[in-house]
Amino acid sequence: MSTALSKLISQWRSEPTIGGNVTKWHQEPPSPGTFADLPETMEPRLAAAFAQLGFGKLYSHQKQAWDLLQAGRHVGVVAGTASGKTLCYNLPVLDALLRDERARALYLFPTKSLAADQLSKLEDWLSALESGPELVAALYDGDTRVSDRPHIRKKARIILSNPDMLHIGLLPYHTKWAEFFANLRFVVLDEMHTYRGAFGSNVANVIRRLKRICAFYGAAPQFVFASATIANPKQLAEGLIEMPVEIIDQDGAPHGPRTFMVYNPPIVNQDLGIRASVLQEAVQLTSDILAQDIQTIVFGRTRRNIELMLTNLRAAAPGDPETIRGYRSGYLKKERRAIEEGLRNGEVRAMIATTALELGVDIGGLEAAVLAGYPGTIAATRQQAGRAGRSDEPSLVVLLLYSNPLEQYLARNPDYFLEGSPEHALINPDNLVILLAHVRCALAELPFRSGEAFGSVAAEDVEELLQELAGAGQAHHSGDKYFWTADTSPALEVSLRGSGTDSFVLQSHEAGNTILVGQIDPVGAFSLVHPEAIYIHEGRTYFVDQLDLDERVAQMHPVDVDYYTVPIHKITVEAMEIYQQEMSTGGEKHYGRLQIQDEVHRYEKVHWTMNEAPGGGELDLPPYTINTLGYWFAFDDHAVDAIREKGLWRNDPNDYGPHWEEVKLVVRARDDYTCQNCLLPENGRAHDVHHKIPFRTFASQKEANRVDNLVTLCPKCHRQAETMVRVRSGLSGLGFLLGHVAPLHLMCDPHNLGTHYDPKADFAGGKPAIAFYDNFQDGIGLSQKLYEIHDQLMAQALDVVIACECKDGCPACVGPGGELGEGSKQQTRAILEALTGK
Amino acid sequence: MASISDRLKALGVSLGSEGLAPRKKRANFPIEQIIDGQAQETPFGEAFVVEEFFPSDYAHGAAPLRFPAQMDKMAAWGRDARIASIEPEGFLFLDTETTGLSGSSATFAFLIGAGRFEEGGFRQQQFFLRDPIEEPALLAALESFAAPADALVTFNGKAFDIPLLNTRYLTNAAPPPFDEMAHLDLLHLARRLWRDVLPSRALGDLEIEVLDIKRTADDIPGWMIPQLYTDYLYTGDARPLSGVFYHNTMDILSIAALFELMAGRLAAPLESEMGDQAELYAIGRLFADLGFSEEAIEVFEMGLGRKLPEDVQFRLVENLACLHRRKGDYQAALKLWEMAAGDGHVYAHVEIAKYYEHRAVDLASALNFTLTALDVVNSKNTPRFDRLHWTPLLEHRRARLERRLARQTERQ
Repeated sequence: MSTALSKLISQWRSEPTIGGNVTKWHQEPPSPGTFADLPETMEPRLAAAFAQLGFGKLYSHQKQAWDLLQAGRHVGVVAGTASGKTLCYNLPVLDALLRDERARALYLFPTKSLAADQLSKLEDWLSALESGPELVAALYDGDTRVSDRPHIRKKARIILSNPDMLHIGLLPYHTKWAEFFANLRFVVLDEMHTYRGAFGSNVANVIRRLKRICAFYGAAPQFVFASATIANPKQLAEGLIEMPVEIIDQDGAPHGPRTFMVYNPPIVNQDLGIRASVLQEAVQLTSDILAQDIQTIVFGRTRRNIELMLTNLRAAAPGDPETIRGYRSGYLKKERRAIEEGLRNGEVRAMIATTALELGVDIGGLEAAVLAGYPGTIAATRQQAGRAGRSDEPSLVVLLLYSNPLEQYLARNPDYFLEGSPEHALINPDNLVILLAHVRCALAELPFRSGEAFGSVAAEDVEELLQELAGAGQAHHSGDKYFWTADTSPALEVSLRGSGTDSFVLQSHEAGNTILVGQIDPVGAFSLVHPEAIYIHEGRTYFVDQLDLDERVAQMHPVDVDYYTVPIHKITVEAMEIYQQEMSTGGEKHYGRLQIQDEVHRYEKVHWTMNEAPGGGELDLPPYTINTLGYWFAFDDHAVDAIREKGLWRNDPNDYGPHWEEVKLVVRARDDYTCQNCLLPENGRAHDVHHKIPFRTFASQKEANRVDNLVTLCPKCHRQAETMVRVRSGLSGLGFLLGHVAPLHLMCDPHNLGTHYDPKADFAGGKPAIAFYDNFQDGIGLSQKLYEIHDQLMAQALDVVIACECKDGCPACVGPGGELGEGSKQQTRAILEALTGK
Repeated sequence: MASISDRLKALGVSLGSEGLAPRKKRANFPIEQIIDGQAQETPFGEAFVVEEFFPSDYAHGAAPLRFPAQMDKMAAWGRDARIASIEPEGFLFLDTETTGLSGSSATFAFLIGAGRFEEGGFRQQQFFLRDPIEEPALLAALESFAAPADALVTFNGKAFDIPLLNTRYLTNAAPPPFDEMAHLDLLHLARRLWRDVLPSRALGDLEIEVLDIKRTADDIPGWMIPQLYTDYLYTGDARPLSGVFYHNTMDILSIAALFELMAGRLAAPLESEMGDQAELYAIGRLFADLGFSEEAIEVFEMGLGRKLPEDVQFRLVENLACLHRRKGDYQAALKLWEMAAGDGHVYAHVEIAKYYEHRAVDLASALNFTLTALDVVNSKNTPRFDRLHWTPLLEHRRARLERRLARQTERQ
């Protein structure tokens, strides 16, 4: 181990204000690597280039990939950062292309910048091969000049692109690519784990179309995947191409010893469970690292975080502040290249980057990486951590965790992500909305024959969709065929990064210009970009000025604020169809189709710095209906009774007693029919009467309804007061908790998964119930997985509650109570104990 | 389990047909009742073909419908040596009506008009897609009509009709028949000839401006055509399509007439009766580009005598002088440059300076013209970008000339 690094680590270990906060010192032992000789069958020119580029041997996983691809298999390689996974596909592809001068390959990357990065690597090979004009690799994406395109279509043997361009720019124009598709031998999908959720479900359908077009031209390409570590690489790869895939997950690359340190900022307010700021702690740790002259990369979540850490680190760290640089989207390409170069040659000692950098972009290895906050998925954590470690030299990774339930769970159970890989990347290619969109695209590409299936979608189902299209005048059925007849190109109407059409366009107005920020699904729109929302995109924060429902545009402008907004939903759930149900401890779990009415009726501001008065506002948005897949659990009476006996069931609606109406009158008269907070007199509508100490916390109605515990408030002030003293029920705490624990298993953003609880749920026969649903029309496969792992999920949730040091609920477990109110920790714990039989 | 249709409804999926008045299904007005055509047998089934013959004396607008008398300049413009030797029967005039403009495989050609000259007149066949299922037959029928042809004549066919038809053949797993043919796309020639002459080079506008044709009320504007066909497929009512056949016929005839007219202009540009003489300049430029220097000079000189817009006049003089210089006729060139120099054109001063420096070896005169050029450049009438362009070049020339003059003086 380098002396500087070992000195730093022993310093930290012996310093209780640092070492005391480390919940795990994980040592990854060095690996000398496993090597294999170059295959003798390799094309001699390729073997010569291999040597010329300074390679000696293959890593074992590269050899495995070679063998399986030679045997005609579809292959998925799961390997870490800097493990030479690109060679797993570059070698077999170049070999095939050298042998057959007509053969072609298609490389797909989730982003344009990754494709550009890979092109430069590939070009090293092409020049070593002295391949000349007969073996050309080229980018083909939205940025490719129109005048260059015909030449690239004709000449390029390897096309580097993205699934969106395949969908919109290649498949609809397949006749121009006839030669390419007819000779397509390999399709490479790198960063496979990013093809999940709605995006992955769309990509799976684009691949159905690709296979259909290739079959038309008589080709059946082999697929090669590369992926970060996930729980289900085989399932995902096979889901994407609907064919068997061989997975290689033994990484034969050598690496040095790595220290992985999990750091939980210390608690500074025991009652509220508030911990020290992740950003400040990250700055402090990083300046310790820099004091040892160790080159470091720091990852932050948002642009604002980056700027904060940059400023503070420049002030705190020894040495020239100019050697500490930020790196995020919004920097010019030239600036970025200069920073990357500075990292490679050592002039830049620390780089503070947003997660945008986790994919691709070659900056070489650094000695240390600091992750200020969990990057959201284990795969992303590993990719960011993988930035530390130069071939076989020692390295250090520091992960600092925030105080939400998921991160606090990880703080206490670091082995969960250090050892295993529990995250499932899930797709649902048969999502009807997505499927229909791609059947339209496929139909416009080539007519459908009667009896023709679409991927694994049975011919009858395809035909039913085609008949729908015919009914709408978009398809024409004649003889044994269906034809696309509408005057539009359907691919232009479908974005792969949403679940369907009707998406909202996000426009930012800055310095007199209107900039397209992105698009979002209608399902998420009301939650994320309601008027006055703070929207965070690629680390930038925007304030939403207006949401135009007719034009489907959200107008926003960039702001620098220290709060974010949380939408408050009014949700009703109806069970439409039950596909699976099973008795479980404490009740019955169900999986099926739910109809969700979701009304975002107000929002609340949450300050990053805490301790500030909350604010918010009313919203006037129409309810949104989602028909989707869901998993719900209905409690049985026995379980509820048991919890009630312990006095821990606080979910029943308040019964204010027989004299409540009279009591209210007395109080209003006493207060002169005037709001006691803002002094607004009643005007046509009776003001509310509010319990100063929450009703639910009293054992008797009579005590609670004592007039000195009651006060007259106007509706607005009443709502504010309720926010301050919100009493969490056990069910609401459970909803909060599970919503945050579920992403341990599913690779999804928290807002991809909806939660709802109801002490008298119509969708569960009037029983208390809690429901999770895919926040996408027709579902993308999330809740089915939760249904399957119900027991494990409840056990983990209980672990979180038991392990949490807070008194009565905090952001790290069941969520905080109001400032003056009560949390629900005991109640939620009692429910979870009933569900796990403990 | 709910049906897919019910599920789509529950999901609120809109197929885009809402808001439209419900269309009537299957009214029974097949195309055979509307248009006088024949079902033609092909190896792939029947194709519906409408044939019309236009005798040699048929007048389409101002011009008779006939094959050009002289094709050599047209062939040169087409930059395809084969064209000059192809018989009139070997030219196929082609235009398509389509279900859209996307250029992707989503668009197909539902009416393809094609025409050929033959003994005694012009034969047109229109191939109509009664139903998309007949597309292989339609394409086969077109191919057999096109079989004798070695050259295509279209209007915007290079960018639109031919790539689209190629896509149709390829999606039907058939090799496109046009790959080996010569192709004259009259849109490109129209742009060259009439960019400075006419406000629009669209075929419909050329009909009015150049061919003196007025379409009847039967005509359908192009933008309406895709929807008419989609409606026809849905309703089975072919009546609204008759206007599309008329539209397509007019296009084909206009392409043929335009072909004759353009070839005539190129063969005898000086006989043109066109009011605006900017066309002469355009033809001169074209001839110069194609290497017909003598003809180009002749055309330019004719243009010189006529009244031209100022900017065209200026470019004409510059081009003509350039042709004279290339030929070695410096006296003729000099005369034009002096004229242009008098009008304050910097380039002309520079050309004269070059002439005196390198040809006449009169360094003093060369310097003189360089200095007058600098005066012009520095005058306030000269736009800034011109000044930025010329000043360094002229300063460089002046410095060199002054050096050479000094050396000359030393030697003397």
